[in-house]
This record gives sequence, C-alpha cells and structure tokens, in this order.
Amino acid sequence: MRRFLSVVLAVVLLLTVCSPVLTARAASFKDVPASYWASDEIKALTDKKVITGYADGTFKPEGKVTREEFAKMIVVAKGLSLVTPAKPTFTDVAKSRWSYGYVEAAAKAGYIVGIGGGKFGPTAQIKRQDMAVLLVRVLGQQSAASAIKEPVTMSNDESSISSYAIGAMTIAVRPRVQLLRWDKFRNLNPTVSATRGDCAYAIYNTIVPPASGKKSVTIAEENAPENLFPLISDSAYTMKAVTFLASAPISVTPYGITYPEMAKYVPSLANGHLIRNADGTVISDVELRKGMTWSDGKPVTIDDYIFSHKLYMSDDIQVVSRSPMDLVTKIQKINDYKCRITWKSWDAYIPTGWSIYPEHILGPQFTKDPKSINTSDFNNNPVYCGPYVVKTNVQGQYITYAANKNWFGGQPVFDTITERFIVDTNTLLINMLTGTIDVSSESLPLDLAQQFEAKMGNSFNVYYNKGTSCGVMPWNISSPWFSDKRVRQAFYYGIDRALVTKKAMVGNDPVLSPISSGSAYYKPVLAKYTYDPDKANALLDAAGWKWNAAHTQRTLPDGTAAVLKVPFSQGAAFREREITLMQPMLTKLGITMQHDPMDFDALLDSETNGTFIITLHGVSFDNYDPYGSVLSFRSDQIPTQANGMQGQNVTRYKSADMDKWLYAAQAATTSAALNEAYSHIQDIFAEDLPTFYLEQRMYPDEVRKGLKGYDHFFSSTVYNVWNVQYWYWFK
Amino acid sequence: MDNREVLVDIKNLRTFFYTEDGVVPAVDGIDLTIHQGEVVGLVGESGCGKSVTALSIMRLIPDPPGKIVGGEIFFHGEDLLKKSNEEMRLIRGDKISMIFQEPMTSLNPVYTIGDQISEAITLHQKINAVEAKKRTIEMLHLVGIPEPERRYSQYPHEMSGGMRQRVMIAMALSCNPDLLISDEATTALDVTIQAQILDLMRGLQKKLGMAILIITHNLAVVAEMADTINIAYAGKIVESATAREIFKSPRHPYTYGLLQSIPKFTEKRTSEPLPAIEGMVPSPYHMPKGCSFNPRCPFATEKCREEEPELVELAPGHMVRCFHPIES
Amino acid sequence: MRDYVIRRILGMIPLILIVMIVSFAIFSMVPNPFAALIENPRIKRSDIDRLIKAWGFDLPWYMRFFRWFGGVIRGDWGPSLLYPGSSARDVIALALPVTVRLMGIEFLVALAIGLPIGILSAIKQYSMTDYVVTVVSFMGMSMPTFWFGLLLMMLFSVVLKRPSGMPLLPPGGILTPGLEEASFWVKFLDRAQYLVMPVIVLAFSSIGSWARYMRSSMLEVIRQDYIRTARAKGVPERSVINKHALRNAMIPIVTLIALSVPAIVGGASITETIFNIPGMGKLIIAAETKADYPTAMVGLMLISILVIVFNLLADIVYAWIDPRIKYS
Repeated sequence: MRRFLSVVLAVVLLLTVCSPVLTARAASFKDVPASYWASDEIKALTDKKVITGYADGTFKPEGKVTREEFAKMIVVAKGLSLVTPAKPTFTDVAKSRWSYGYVEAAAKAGYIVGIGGGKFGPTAQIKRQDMAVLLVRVLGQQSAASAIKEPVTMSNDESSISSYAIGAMTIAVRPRVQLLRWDKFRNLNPTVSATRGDCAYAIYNTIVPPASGKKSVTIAEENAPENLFPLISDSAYTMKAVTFLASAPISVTPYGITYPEMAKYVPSLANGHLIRNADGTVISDVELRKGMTWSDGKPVTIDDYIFSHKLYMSDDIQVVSRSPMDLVTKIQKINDYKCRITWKSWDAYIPTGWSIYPEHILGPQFTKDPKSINTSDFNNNPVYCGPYVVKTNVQGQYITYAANKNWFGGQPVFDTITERFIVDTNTLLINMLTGTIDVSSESLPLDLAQQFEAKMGNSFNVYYNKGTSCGVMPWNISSPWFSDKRVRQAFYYGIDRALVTKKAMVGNDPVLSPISSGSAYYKPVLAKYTYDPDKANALLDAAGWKWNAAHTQRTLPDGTAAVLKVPFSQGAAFREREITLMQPMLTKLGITMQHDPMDFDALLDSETNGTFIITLHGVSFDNYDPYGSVLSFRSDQIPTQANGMQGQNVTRYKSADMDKWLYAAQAATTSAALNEAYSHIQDIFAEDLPTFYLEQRMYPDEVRKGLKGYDHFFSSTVYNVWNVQYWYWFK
Repeated sequence: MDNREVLVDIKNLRTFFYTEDGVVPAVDGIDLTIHQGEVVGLVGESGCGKSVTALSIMRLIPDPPGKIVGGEIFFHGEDLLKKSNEEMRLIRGDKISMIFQEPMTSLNPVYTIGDQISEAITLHQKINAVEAKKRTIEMLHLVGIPEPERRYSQYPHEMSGGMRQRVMIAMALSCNPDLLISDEATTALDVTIQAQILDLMRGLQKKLGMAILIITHNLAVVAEMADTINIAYAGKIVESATAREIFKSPRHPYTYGLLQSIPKFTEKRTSEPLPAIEGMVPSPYHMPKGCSFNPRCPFATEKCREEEPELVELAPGHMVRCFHPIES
Repeated sequence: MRDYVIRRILGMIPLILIVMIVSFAIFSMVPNPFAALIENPRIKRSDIDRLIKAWGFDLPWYMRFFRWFGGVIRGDWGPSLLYPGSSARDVIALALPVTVRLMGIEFLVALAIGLPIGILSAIKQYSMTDYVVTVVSFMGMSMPTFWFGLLLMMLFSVVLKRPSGMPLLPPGGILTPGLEEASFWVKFLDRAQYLVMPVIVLAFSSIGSWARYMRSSMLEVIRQDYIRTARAKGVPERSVINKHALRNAMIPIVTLIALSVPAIVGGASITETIFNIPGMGKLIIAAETKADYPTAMVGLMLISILVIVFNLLADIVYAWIDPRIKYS
C-alpha cells in the first residue's frame, strides 16, 4: 500500500514539475492586476502553493470556495501533515474523499467542529462568518471569542451576524487580525459566501498577521494642527490629527457611507431609528456601545453625548460650526447608553449627529465658566476615545502617537505613528527623497509629485486623486452681462477650461458637474462644453454682442464695452495666473478681461449684495452631501433682506424647474428618488449654467509600497488617515 | 669739517612710488651725512622728497606703492637697506626714533599717553612694568610736562597740541636713541609753541647728546639749531653746507631764492612785493630735462636744459649741484 | 553718564507706547482671517459673522487696541488665533528658544569668521586674498537663502549619506522624533546636527557683511598717523594690527554688534520655512498674515523693546570703549 502511494506521489510530483501551467506562476494572473485589493496575498499564497491558479492563467478571485476546499487551504497554509485515521470524524467526509486527509487534519488541530449532527458539509460554500469562526480558532482566540456577547464590528449589517459568530466576527475585524474587510457600503456580509480572494486574504493574515511587519509609520503633513480640539478650530489639520485620537458615534467613509463606530447603528428609516414626521420634524435615536472608555479610563456614556450638544450651542464658546446641532429641539435620555433626539426639520447630517466630548473633563470647566473652554488645556492635551493618544507633541515639528491598547475596536497595528510637519513643499520633497517618510498625502503639488515619482517610483506609489476643491467664477445673472443664457454658454465654449487647469499646474480636468465626482449621483454633464471659440462667437453674435469696426472688441446690446474686470482675493497669485491664462481666450471673443485684486471680505460682500458682475475664488464640494453644493441654485436662497442676506444664491438664478427638483431631492428618502432628482438637477444646470466652474484640483498622494489599508481617494471632510489604525506593512 | 664719527651715511638713495598714473621718483639720488651728535637740517618745499628720505631711513615706506630702488643707508657702518624686517624693528624706537608733523593724530586715542610711552620702553628694554612707568614719568618730566604722575593716565585728546608733541618727543627719546628724526614736528603748532618745542629739543640734544635730523620747509627753524643744512629740490640735494655758510653765502640759485623770500624783520619798509621764486615745483611725473630747477632758474642756460649737474664741493664742506653757482 | 542713562531710560517709555500704537494700527490693515472659511460648504455666513464678533474684528482698530492694551496691563497678552486654546505668550515662548539657538549660534559663527577675514582683507588690500574674500563676500550677500538652503539639503541629505543609509545631515527640522527620553548629551548632539545647514546658510551672508564692515573700518584705521607712530616705535607688525589698529577699528563694529543683537530674536523667516524650524520669523509672518494680532503684537513688542534697549546699550558701550566720548 505504501509503495503504491509513494508511486502515486512520485507521479504527481513529476507531473507537477513537468507541467509549467500547474506551477505557481510567480508573475501575475491575468485577472488579478496589481491594484486588486488582495493581489499581494494571492501572490504570496500561490508562491507557497497554498492556492493555485487555473490552467488558463487566471485565478478567478470572485469564484466561490467549498468548505472542504477551504479546509485544504488552511491545512496546507499551516503546514500540517495530513491525518488519515481509521474512523472518519464526520459522516459526510468518507475516507475515500479527496479531502479526507485535510479535513481530518483540520479537525485534529481543532480548527473545525462541523455543522452539527456529526456533519461537516464539505460541498457547501463556506460563508464569510464561518470562515471567521474557523480562522479565529486557528489563531487560538476561541475562548476570547466566546466571551464576547455584543458585536463590535462597526458595520451597517452588524445585526445580521449569527449569534454563534458574534465573537469571531468582532475579533476578525480587529486591526491586528483583519481577516475580513468591509465592502463599499460598510457591510461585512456575514452570510455571503466567501470568494477565493476573500479566502486568500484571510488565510494569509492568519499565517502572517498584520502585526508581523514593522510596527511604526511616518506620515508627512504640510501644516501642524492649530490645536487638538475641533470644536473651536476650523483647521483641516486639526481634524486630521484628531482622526487619530477620536472615534465618533457615527463616522463616514470617504465614499460618503455612514457607519456606526461608537454607536451601535446608524439611525435610518429602514431600521426604524429615524422617523420623519409629516410636520417636517425628525426623530433620531443614538445608542452607544457598552464598555467603551475614554483614554483616561473613565467609561463613555450617553451623558457625554448629551453634554456635547451643550458645548456646540453655547454662545460663549467660539464654535466654528453648529450645523445641524441648531435644529435640535429636545434630547431625551432613555438609559445610560441611549437617547432620543427631536429635530426641527430635516438636514442631511442628522443621521451623523455630532462629535462626543468627555463630560467628566469639560463639564466642570463649562459649569464654572463656559468661556474657559476656549483656552482650556483640553486644546492641547485632550482626552478622547480613539485608537491613538498623543505621546509627544513638538509644536510645529512633529507629533508622535502611541497606540491606545484598550481601544474598543481592538489594539491598533502600529505601536507608534510619527506625523511630521513640513511647510515648504520643496523641503518636503527633499525629505521624501531621503526615504525617511512613508506617506505624504495631498501635500506635494502636482509638478513636484511627478518629479518624486520619476525618482522614487520603484518604492512608492503615487496616486493622482481628484480633489474636492475647485475654482468657480460666479456671475451675476441679473446684470446685463450675464442675463442671456447664450452669453453664459459662450463663456463655457470660449474658455478652454481643461487647458487652464493643466497650465495652472493643479490638475488634469476641469469640473464636469455641480456635484462632487465622488458622489454616487454624479453625471459629467459639462463634458459637452468642449473648447470651441467659433461656437462661442456665434452665440455672442446671436445674443446681440456687436463687434467694433476694427473687429477687436465687442459691445453689449446696451452699448457698454465688453471690458470685464474679474475680482479675486488680493495676493492669490494662483487666481491671478488663471485670469492671465483666460485673457487671450476671451480676446478671441472680443471681450477684454482684466485683473481686479480685491480684499476678500469686500469681494464676498459684493456677491452678497449683488453689486458684482463676476468674481473668481474657490469652493469645496462635499462628497457626502451633494445637496450642499446645489442648494445655492434654489431661488429662495437669493440673499435678500427677508432672509437677512444669508442666502448663498449669489448668482441670482431663478428657475421653477430647478426649484422643483431641488425640493424633490431634499424630500427624497429612497436612493432611486435621489438619483432621479440629482439627474434632473445636473441636466438643468448644464443647460442654464447658473455659474461658471473652472479647475478641479488634483491632490497627489505618495505612499510607500507595501503599506496595506491605505485608501487613496478624495474628500474634503474625510481624511486619508481615517482608518489609520488598520494600516500595516505587508510582510 | 666735522671730526665726530659718521653716524648715518646716505649714498645715492633712490625711492620711487609706482602709481596708476606713472612712476614718481620721490627721492632720486640723495646723499646725506649725519655725524654723531650733529644736528642736521634737511630743507625744501613740499614734495621735494625730504619726508620720504626720513621714512626710507626708518624703512617705513609703504610697499605698495613705494619701493627703495637703490642706494645705501649706512648706520654705524651697516647698510640698513640690507637688514631684515626684524632687525629694523629692533632699531626703530631704540636706536633711531622719529617724530611726526601732526601731534593731534600721531598718538593712539584709545590708550593713555603713559601706556604708549611705556610700551616704547618695554619693547626695547628688559625692565618690568613698574620700572617702565617710573622711567616714563621721568621722561614726561624731562620734556617739561607738569604733574607727570597725573598726566600718565590721561588720554591724548585731553591734551593740547603742544603737550602732545612733548609726549611724542618723550616717547621718541625714551630709549635714548642715537638719532632723532624730526619730520616737520613743529609745522602744525602755533608760533609760540613752536619756539617752546624747538627750545626743548635744543636742550635735550645738549643733555642727551643724540643726533637730530630736522626736516622742515622753514629755514628759520634750522637757523638756530642745525649744524649742517641740506637743501633738497625735486628729489635731490642741491646744496649742502654748514648753517653759517648757507645763510652767509648761498651758492645755489634755489637756496638764494629761498633766503630772499624770507620776510625780514629788520629791513626797512618798502612797498615792493616779497620776492618769490617764479614757477612751481615740477610735477614728479614730468621732471624737466637737464637740471630739474632750470624752468624756474633766472640763470638757466642751454646747458642746464640739456645736462644734469652733479654735486660738486665748491669749498670745504660746501657742496652745490649747479653749473652756474652764485659767487660767494 | 548716570544722568544720561536715566534720561534715556525714561525716554524709552513714550517711545514704546508709540511703537505699540503704530504697529497695532498697521496690523489692523490685514483683513480678518475668517472670510476664507466660506469655501467650506458646511460653514455659513452666520458662522463667519459670529466668529468675527467673538474675536473683536467687528470693532474699529482703536477700540480693539484699547481692549488689547487693557489686557496687557493686567498681564494678559491675549489668546492666539493661530493656535486656539493657547495664549499668545505661550506660543511665542515656544518659538523663542528655537530662534535664539539658531540665530545666536549663527551670529557667533559669523563674527568669529567674518571679522578675522575682514582684518586679513584689509591688511592685504588689493592682494589675491583680498579679491577672493571680496568676491566670496558679495556672493554670500547676494545668494538667495531659499535656493542655497535647498541646494545644501539636496547635497547633504539626498546625495551624501551615512554608512547606515540615512542622510548625512537631516533635511530640516529641529529634533529627531523618539529621543525624548534620551540623555542630555544625546539630545544635545541630535539638536546640533539640525543646526549645521541653517547656520551655514545664514552665516554665509552675514559673514560677507561683517567682513566688509571690518575691512573698511580697518582700512581707515591703518591709514592713521598713530599707526605709523607705532611702527616707528618698533612695535612688531602683529601688535600693530592686533593692539593698535584693532582696538580702534572695533569701535564702530562693537556698536554694530550691539545694534544687531535684537535681530537674533526676530529670526529669519525664509530660512526657517525652508528648514522647517518653528521659530519666531515664521511665527510672526504667519501671525501677521492671518491677523493673529495678539501673537504678532507680543512678537513685535519683544523685538521693539530689544531694539530700543540695545540702542541704549550700544551708546553706553561706545562711550565705554572710546575714551574720547563723554555724555553729559
């Protein structure tokens, strides 16, 4: 018998050696590009022969895996020897089965216990949560898993995890474990079958856990945070730094998907925790997880959350923004972890709520004197409930963060993170060229990033992300200049926006829609306005803009010369350059464009009062809430005495059609309705052109190869360090 | 004739200055002898090379732009021009001292006068500071400065011009030099002070016995003091004789002209203008051909314009450089 | 002298007050920093108005001045806008030692190298040494600091490396993260390596200036008569320069040094930006452009007071080292 087996083995080995197709191809599979999320793990495991590709050179990463196939994978990965006992452990895995040795080995090692009734279910596809359960056993954390009664998975489908898998799933998404990843909608999909890609990833992280690599990383930023208290600071850098330090009840992914971090769920109409009443009021529930602690050890309760609202609403504190907190009419405490909030009217940010601050620290200061919060020590030595705490802060130079081992989501992978602040972009480039920096996001301008890539492209990935800031030239539609739609279209045809963007060295593409290109509802409706000066001239002719005798300049129908002064913020050299680039293009249309540097306050005032003709400045898109970007096209948003000059519709655009769809978007509750509304909004925009968009800025990221977990994207409110506790070095 | 030993013997000294505009032959063949203890005058107009001669003896010509290009300066029989810088340094202030024209600027303003004199002493003699101070105060007393102990700690700007010149003299004589060179030392002082200083120098000379080379453009200064007078013109000595001889019978037309132009107190009043030598001292870049005095000489002939006269001994001890010397 | 000093000190008080008012008025010309927030879609006009009111930007500048001044008298220099939560004084107190360290060392290095070079240049005027020094001085004074700084960083950080692979000198910064618990010497040496390049950049231009000042002062002094006197005394050349000439040449230099000291506190904003040094230069510029008037005022008052005090000190020192100067 033994001799027979050895002959078989020899033949099999020979075949393996001779057949190049079956050999693990160290290069790549046709269907697993380097950018595939699990390509590193697939490659590593194929090298180790834990998994193999197919004869046609593919890997089929989306294929499903049966339970017995998975058993084989894990046994091979762990290097266990096959076990062939006389009596099979499971009734449905007979000795004659090909997977017998593997299943028995796995059973012997204690990895698998079966599905009950003595069965194993070898041909069933393995579900993601079962994979988690199995691998948690492999990691030896089974007892820890069974001690966990409530899931902490920070996913939107947390409640759909089977009760036996609660502990394993919680452990499986911990930073130092990372067996499963959330999908784009922040779901873990526990009952969905695992794909070959999923298995490769999970098994690799089982045998080479994330914490096997170097446990530190160095990140470069342009500016240091002003302080560490976002309540009273508008600085993006403060927000970025606090991302390391503070978790929030509800967080947002860069793709605009909310998910429950410190809270147990995101209040929504679907789960019944969000109610929109007929009278326009809204009710939402906020329920925090149990057992969370602040970094000083004190427990987190709903009292902290309720207290935080007081901070936002205090007039003595220099709060930067209190939207939508100012819509709250009542907060009712239900128990130590839950409260119910009543809101005056709907706002897209209601489900997200507000940030949570520790009452046991800020409360006494607030009671004594609310103004003292502005200068409180909390600004520089805060206490939050997050994955990291500040270890050293050298003002203006660097901050080192130490991992908060007791973070409710599990111990972060990196023990230390160093964030270095380098203001001058040339100096930053030099520092990056020395190789001492691992990550630099949105700090190098486009040209320097390209230089960096040319030199260090072998060890760094450079991602050219579209930014959320753009340039905008709002025009006054009630002025004789821009009241005619044809003139507005002429500007879009007559200005080569793509060229201006490229030449100003900030990006590659102009803005193609009034809502963010990261939004799910985005349609590039402005792409039809390609550069066409002839068409532009034809439109101006049709609008009655006459040329002078020498054919050098036009006049408007009312006789004024076509000389356009464009105000921009004094000292903004960049805007000055854009105007210089546009001047020759407008000259072709018979319009003289002139620079008009101005005090920015005065510029904004002229927009509010409607005394302007055109201006040039920047604006940001909100990835999460596209409504904010288009609200300014509603006719009731025109600043008037009635609304205290508070409206943002400075272009004075009025359209009944647009109003109709804007109200529809505000009232919509299903994504289909939202989709339809935004589609119409964008189409109407492209036709009426209420404002002129210019460049979309590009912010390159530079990331050392081998850093897992880094997600390059763009968002004006979510920073690239949003998931820093999950980053690790691939080993 | 002087039967004292020769102290300084200058033979055919030539010191030129090399400037951007050309070469200036400031001293172009000067012969001069000083005997021990003798008071010798060197007289001439500005630019005739007298100061340069003095600085050449001291080897203090600034190089660039100046350079001693030829000749010999024998001091105690040794040619100073062949000595090293260090050897010269030891001689300066110790064996040969010099005092200068501007007492107001010739002393260092940030050190006390006492310190400056003591420095001269300690540089050349092996005595300690206390001894040096004592000697300094002695010198101050010697040159006639009242309250020398108090004055020791004073700064130059706290003293008048005359006082400062006395200090300079004290400093120059503090090491008992063999030769004191006085380069227009009294020119910048007013007349009464001038007389005082000259008296002082005369007295010191009798007391200490050093030789003095008095450089001046003022014949009156040397009249009383000098044993021998040398008249210099355009870088050369044109007449050399005892003081008596010069004043009694000048032989060179230039000397004669100089004497004529001194206003005399005893002459009766006339309405005639004071006689002056016509013309100007020639520019050193454009020396006239032949005798350098010929353009201004009332007795110049064709020969004077062609050839340069040599220094000739017309009478014992009386040297003249002229083709047509005036009859005695 | 004592009366003079007292009078000067009393005169400083109205001067400082005037400086305060004028600076404040000029700062107020910078627009409020909140207008730019409008770009953020979540911030509304009402938020901006609220912030303007909270920080007092809705008041006219003289009202704001009185409010600020009232705080100053009570010892409260105001909160910082750049760093909410920190007081203006704290913010300055963090940046000040960094700047003083950098600028102080640069100052000493520049003097230690520049002054001797200037002296050498003067002694050897028009020689090859002089020309080389002059050319290099002018190069240093004309070199744009940001360009030179970046060039140095490219050379010493990217091109040149230590055996371990790390850059030879760190490109910017002041400390290495992670050494907070190290011993004093380790930290000292760590800080020192960060100072090498910025000091080179800054000193290179100041060395040029100091060398030029020293050279011209020295040249003037060397031509003086008392230097000639010293040489005539037999003072060795080295002492002529170091004792006689230098003491006089240093008089204007010492006053210049005293007047330059306040600049140490002001920092160098371009160099600090390039080398990522969180110093006073960068801070004051940021405070001025972002209308953080409390911080800008603290910084400005510090520098103004130092300038005024050191002006007085310069005058006192001047009187102390030049015996010719007397105040009544």
